[in-house]
Amino acid sequence: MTFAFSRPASLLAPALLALGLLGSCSKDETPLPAVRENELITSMRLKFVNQASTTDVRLATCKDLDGQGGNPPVIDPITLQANTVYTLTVDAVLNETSTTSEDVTPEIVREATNHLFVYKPTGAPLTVVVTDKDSQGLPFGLQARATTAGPGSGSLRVVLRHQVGTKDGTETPGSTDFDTTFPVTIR
Amino acid sequence: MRELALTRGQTLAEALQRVPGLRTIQTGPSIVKPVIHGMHSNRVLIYNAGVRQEGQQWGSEHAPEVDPFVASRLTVVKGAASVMYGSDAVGGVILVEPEALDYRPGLRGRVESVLMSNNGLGALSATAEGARPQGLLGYRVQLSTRQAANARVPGYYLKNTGFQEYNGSATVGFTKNAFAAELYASTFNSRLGIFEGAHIGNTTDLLAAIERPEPLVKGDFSYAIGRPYQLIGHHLVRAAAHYELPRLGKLHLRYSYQRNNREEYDLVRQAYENEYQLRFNLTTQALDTYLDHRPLGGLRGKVGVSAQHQQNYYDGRYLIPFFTNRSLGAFATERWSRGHLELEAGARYDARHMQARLREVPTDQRSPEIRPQFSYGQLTGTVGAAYQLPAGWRLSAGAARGWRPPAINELFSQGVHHGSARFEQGDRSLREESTFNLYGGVTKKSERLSGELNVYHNRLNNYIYLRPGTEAVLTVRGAFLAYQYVQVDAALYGTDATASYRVADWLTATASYSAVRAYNRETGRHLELIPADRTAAALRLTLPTWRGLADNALSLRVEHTARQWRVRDDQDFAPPPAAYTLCHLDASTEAHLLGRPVALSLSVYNLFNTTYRDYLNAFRYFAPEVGRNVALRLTVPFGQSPAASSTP
Repeated sequence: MTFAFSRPASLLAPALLALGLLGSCSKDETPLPAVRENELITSMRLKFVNQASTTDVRLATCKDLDGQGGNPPVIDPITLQANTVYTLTVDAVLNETSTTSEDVTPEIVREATNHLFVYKPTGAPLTVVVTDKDSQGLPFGLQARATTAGPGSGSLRVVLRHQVGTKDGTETPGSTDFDTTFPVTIR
Repeated sequence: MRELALTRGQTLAEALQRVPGLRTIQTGPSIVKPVIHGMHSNRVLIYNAGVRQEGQQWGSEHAPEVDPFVASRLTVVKGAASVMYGSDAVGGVILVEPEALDYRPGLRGRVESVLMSNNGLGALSATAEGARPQGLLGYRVQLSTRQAANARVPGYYLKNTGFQEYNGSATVGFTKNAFAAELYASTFNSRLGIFEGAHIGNTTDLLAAIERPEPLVKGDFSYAIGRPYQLIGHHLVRAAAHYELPRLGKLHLRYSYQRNNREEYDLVRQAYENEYQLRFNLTTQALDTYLDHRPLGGLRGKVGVSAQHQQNYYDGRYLIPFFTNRSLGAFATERWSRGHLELEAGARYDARHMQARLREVPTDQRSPEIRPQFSYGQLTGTVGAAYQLPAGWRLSAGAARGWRPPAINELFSQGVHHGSARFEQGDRSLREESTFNLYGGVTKKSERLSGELNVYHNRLNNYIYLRPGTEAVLTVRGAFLAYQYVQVDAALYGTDATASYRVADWLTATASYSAVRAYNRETGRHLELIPADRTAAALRLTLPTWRGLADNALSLRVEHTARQWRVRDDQDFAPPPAAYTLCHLDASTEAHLLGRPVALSLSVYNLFNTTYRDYLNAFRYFAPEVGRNVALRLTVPFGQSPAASSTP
């Protein structure tokens, strides 16, 4: 709590209160509104399933529980096998508060014609190709195929674009709903 | 008030741009706020029909909720007289004054209509007024609307920039002998589309948008308003009375109640039809009384007290907390004159107590509720002198000491500001801002030459401003630059000059210049978002009566706005826009239709459809300013004694 007092005012403040100025007799006890961060995404998890051996599953999460500002997000590193083909899925998109956890994936799927996941590998010998499409036949990106080559390291940037009425299959239109860069190691 | 008639259909701030030293700060084509000597928002007070306008004026994208059709006079007050209106008028006070009630019996009025070519704007205002035969009771009813489609910049339309406005006011007055009372009520309702191309996610999006020469999505000619948009209502009731006290003077008493409701609808995934993402509700009550006293040994002036109570709620996304504000002020302003000398002085003391209610961490539901309290109190004082010289010359000079408590957003805001990719962070330890202003001027009034030259130097200590961030706040949505409210010692100084010369009976030439400099006294760097220098020249022709067309006038204005090169490139996302020159044309006449004087005017703004961007428009990154706009205005009086009602 912070108090900023300048001397003459501190003498006047009680007088002001005592005056019971204009309608101050009405009790103000409206409860504070529930915390609502619109379409905030606090966590996003990527799932890599080895197409040759479906028991080989790798998960990586990006988590920022205190929302925008405050502490920076915690991002898991991704470790993949060299020369392997993985099925890549965004398997959870959550809006978590300290008390609730809401999965917003169904909503994004329902509004697939307004959304596009974009994958941008840099440095690492990794290629990602979107494999699913929305009802208009444009790429969606909740599902993709990730193919690794020889060992190396770099990063994978995942961007969810929100493109209301403007989606054309490219990243350009719309605004960003999330944008995270995972470190990638391929061995 | 021919000048005001030529601004009908425009916003309040646009209408004020003709006053020297006044500029505008914009968020797209429809959200416009006045800037006085480089200051705006929390530092500019607006008095609408005698009541201090209390909306969420801290936001640079929160335009004043005032219907300009109500005004018969717009006045900008600086100097000793501003003491009457409140301490936080660091920049100045804008008075929006309706015409005084006319107690002559009968019913009369006028209909004003405006059509504009650029955005298909249609505005209509109807006023009816009259009085009971005995002349004790007078009344006036006024209704107005403004409707506009997407604005057009040279080459294309800006999507989602239309607006709709419905306003009205009613006044009833009673006067008998030394007593007069008046009840006034007004309502302002507006739906404002916000340019869709300015809806961006993070800094990467912003930089990509800046790189693009044109917005990706262009609009067409449409009156439809979609998300993002603002829905604003401002409702006011004011009761005022005055009584001529024998020997003492005129005693004024005024009570006002106003309610401001602002809802903001963002372009979001969970956009259910009528659900807002953010709503503010601010209720303000004020009680003012003052005595306009009889001359006392050559002294003329006013003494008074005012009290105000204010309550704010919000719903939806957190931006500012709940708060209760109580303030109390007392003032005296006096004027003395003898011979050629005129002296004035004013003093005012204000105390304010504010209690906020919020969660300690506003974005955490489980965080405990806290109620920080703030108390402020300081003295405001002004002195001024004027000396009348021969040949219509007049010298004036003055000094003023003022202050302003930190505003709610400066203390508490926390969150991402949409459309600007910035994370704004308030600071609860901010202290009062104080100003010391010195000003001087020369005016000249004569048959042929008239004009004025004013200079001012405003020294501000603990000047509160939003310092642009250089460090990025990393979020799951990508990076945002962190903007922080900080206090610095600053100096704002500048000049306004205007001169008019009557070359012939039918021709007047006018030139004007205004400049502001604003420096951070600690670093020596120029402050951001200060208007660039503007030079203007105008020629005005008055033409003889021709075939029943009287009062014919034609004027051409050329306006040059320099580039704000004083801001360094690292103080902004993109370098300030280039200088630009615009031409405007006004033509007006008065015809007699069925024995009534009908005023007709045609204005063309941005005559050559110049493509330009203005440094003080928050959307300068995304699109240029609007192109050519032709406005046609028609005012038709009706009822008894039309001649009297057509001249406010």
